Amino acid sequence: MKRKVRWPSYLIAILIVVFFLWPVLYVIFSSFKTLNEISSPNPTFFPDQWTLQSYIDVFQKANFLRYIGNSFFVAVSSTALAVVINTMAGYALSKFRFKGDKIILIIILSTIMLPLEVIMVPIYRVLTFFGMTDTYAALIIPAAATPTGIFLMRQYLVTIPDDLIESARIDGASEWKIFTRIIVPNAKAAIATLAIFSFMWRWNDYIWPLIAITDMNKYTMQLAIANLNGEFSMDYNGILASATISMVPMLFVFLIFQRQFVQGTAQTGMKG
Amino acid sequence: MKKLVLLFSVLFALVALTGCGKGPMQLVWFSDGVEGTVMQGLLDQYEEETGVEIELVSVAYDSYEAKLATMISGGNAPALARVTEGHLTNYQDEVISLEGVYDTTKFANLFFNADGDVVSLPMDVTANGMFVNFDLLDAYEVDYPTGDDEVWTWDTFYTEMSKLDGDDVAAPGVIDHKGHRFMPLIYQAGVTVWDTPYTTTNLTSQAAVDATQRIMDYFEEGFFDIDGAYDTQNSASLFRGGQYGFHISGNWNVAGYQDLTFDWGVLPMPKDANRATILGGKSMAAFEGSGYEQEAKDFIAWMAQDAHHDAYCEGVPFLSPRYDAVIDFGDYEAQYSVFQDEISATASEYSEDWFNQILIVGMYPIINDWAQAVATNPDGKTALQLLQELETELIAAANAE
Amino acid sequence: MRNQSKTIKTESYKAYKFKQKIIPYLFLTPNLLIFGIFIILPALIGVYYSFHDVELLHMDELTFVGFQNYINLFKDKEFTSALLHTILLVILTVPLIYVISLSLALLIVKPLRAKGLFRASYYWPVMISALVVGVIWYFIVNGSSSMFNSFWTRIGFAESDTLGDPIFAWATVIIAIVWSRAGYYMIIFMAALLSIPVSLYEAADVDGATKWQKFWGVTYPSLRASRVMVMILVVMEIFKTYPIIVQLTAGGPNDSTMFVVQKIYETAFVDGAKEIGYASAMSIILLIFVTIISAVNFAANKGGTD
Repeated sequence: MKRKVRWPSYLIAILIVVFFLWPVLYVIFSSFKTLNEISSPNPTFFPDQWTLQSYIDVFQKANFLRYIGNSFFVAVSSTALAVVINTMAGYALSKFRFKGDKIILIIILSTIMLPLEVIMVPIYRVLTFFGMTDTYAALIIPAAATPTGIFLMRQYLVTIPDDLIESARIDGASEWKIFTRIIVPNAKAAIATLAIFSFMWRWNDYIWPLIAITDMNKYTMQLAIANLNGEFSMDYNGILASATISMVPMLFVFLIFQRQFVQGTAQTGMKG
Repeated sequence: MKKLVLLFSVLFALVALTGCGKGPMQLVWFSDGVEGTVMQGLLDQYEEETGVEIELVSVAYDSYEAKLATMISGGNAPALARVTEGHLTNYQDEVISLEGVYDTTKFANLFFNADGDVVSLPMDVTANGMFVNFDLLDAYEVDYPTGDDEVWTWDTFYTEMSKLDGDDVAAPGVIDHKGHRFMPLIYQAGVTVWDTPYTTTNLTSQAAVDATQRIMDYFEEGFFDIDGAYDTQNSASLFRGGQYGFHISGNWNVAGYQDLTFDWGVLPMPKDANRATILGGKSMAAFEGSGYEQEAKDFIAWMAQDAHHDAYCEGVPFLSPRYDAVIDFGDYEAQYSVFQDEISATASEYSEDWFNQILIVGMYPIINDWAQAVATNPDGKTALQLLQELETELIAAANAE
Repeated sequence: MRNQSKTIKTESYKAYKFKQKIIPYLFLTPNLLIFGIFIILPALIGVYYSFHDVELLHMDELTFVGFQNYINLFKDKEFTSALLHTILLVILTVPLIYVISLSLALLIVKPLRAKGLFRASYYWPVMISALVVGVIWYFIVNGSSSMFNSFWTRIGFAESDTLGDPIFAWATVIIAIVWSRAGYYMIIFMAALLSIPVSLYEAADVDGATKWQKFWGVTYPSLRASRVMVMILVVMEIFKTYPIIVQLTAGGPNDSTMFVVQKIYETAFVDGAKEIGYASAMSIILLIFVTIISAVNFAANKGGTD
């Protein structure tokens, strides 16, 4: 049933696009302005005089290539770990009945409510206990077990028909084989979704790396951006340039994986 | 199932691997400008001379306190850190005595612990002062002091600066959103906070009330732009825009203002009963429990040597806390001489009085809150009421525990 | 099925049963280990701290104080005002996100050309880190030489104090939150809209229902589950507001945009004595609030779907 869409809908849709996009575009264009133009009392949307100076400064003053690399490494590793353990957990919680299954799920879900800042001190104590402070592991491991990730996987895996699993069991397949040969291939869509979300979360983390990492060689992008704030002054150009560097890759990630984003968001939200 | 076991082992190996040995020797740092780069150069030189590697860790100032506290609390205290007076107060139990490490008679701006031991090496001093936009002042025919000994009073200052009124003027001026920018105006009125520390104060004297009232009026009228002081908390960037006649701030802006397109400079702050500025400054402290206590002392001793210390102050450049410092401020010479002049024109009773405020836990935040209340006055209180509250809180804080 | 003799491996039924019991736990173990160590354990330690007088720099000196921290909390004006701010933020932001994301979803399910482009534009802010969202809006509105003020004075208004004005600061915080989160909930609603059976609309068409009637008669009721879901998620999220504030208002002016999480963070890590016990008690109170509100929502949900 195709209905015709009239022009007011397009007009509204485009106006909303303007509302959502101009702040980002304004920041991106401003990152190509000169220092004086940025502090000018009559700002313009486009630079009067295009310059890459902010970018050159940012890469010269701080080791931004390294921070981008770190963010990438942390996000990819944590995502790989998250995919493995959350798919496993999702499988257990969706396809088995066992003592404590409900309680485990409820506990996991209830921690969605827990703001990280609230348990930061105890987490830091735990990190210290394991000698994990100031390591990549501190950024990669704790963040991998996200409640949202488990929930997403569980919701998806529930929809895989039990028959598939049962017949494999009858054929004598080991549980691990069932997991790798049946569950994983059938959950590809959900896995892709979880991977993209997890990448986005880790790429954007700020408070946690701030507390966990001291060694500047292990700094992530977000830390480096915040680091451009001094006691009294703020390196506007640097912040705008680095903010641009941090958000543009995400746009491409989204354009490429749009379908997975949509599915993932929809699934986490579909059912309580 | 084997793969599962494998996964576990990898997981634990990862945890275990990362956790062995003590970390590198660290110097935790925050920067407003190039001081991090200059310090890195000195650290490289130190490594070349002694073979000891010290890692520079830069942290955003906003997160600095949290970061330092977490590190110390987690048993990962850094060997060294760049600290403010506030940090020295908060971490007085954690910093190491530096008694005998360097010659303290050569330095100003020293900090001592309860036993009278020096606890940090002063690295740089800052002074409050006033930046002006000469282009704007000239355009509105503001008559400002030009000679070396000439200092204006707050009344003439107000009259002259009030000429700044036009489309290209946002406000006559801005003042930074910090208590230590406001306090000189009290000291300039000839008022020290403490009559007898820490029981009676001079805060409710007429001179103090008048000085406070003046600040309140200035904000009320928009003579001091509230926007710059409290809201944006970025008065330097406002001044850069060229729409303000003056900016009461610290000398660190000299470096940041070098690329301004208008003609600017530094003028002595107006006087009331007398001239006064507040000395501040960052120092370097060593921490207990880093595992590098002796190495940290060694580095501080090295850093305190004339050539190295001057190299730091000259590199940034900073006003130096070292009495005999020979520093070529280069392009900043004209401006920095005004700041040095402010420092020498300030009676020592005021500097000592200021130290009394910042060396007790919780005193500086109280003054900061007072400054904010004076600027914004959300509850419509009188100057006297605000000062009475300040007095009560300061006495309470000084006598707590 | 299970008893068919097709089973190749010779395995007693008992052993099989036992294995089936163990296996789910094995699959859960890696996750629960990390989860237990880095989330549950710290949370429990937090509860323990909340009954003690303990400072960040002197973690070994714990003094049991019972409920004293909790009692002090409710006499602490700064905390109660942060809590009230947070509740006010929830009240102001949740309906906005709710209405805007639903409207966006209704718009985006229409067979528009270049639909993907529209969707991508609305969704992009969701992918930007909270820190950078703060940077963006700070840059746009802050100070007299900002884009906002330049525009504001050009259309004839007096220059605004922008982030120095509490009401303006609040408005900016709300806009930034809605701007950066509406796209996410739009997708949730969109999926729900697409799953509404077409037959329902056809039936309504037969009855000659107007667009408006179709929305209230078919669409809105069909969305009940996702509506409640969005409500719960948004409420939880707004209660946790902090990272976006870091660069935007930093809690100012005059603590007017100071929300509970920032208060907790500052009490524990920044302010004077860094009282962990006290901050932990604040955390527990926050959790209790969120739990109660979520539970009420869940209850409403259960009553609706069955």
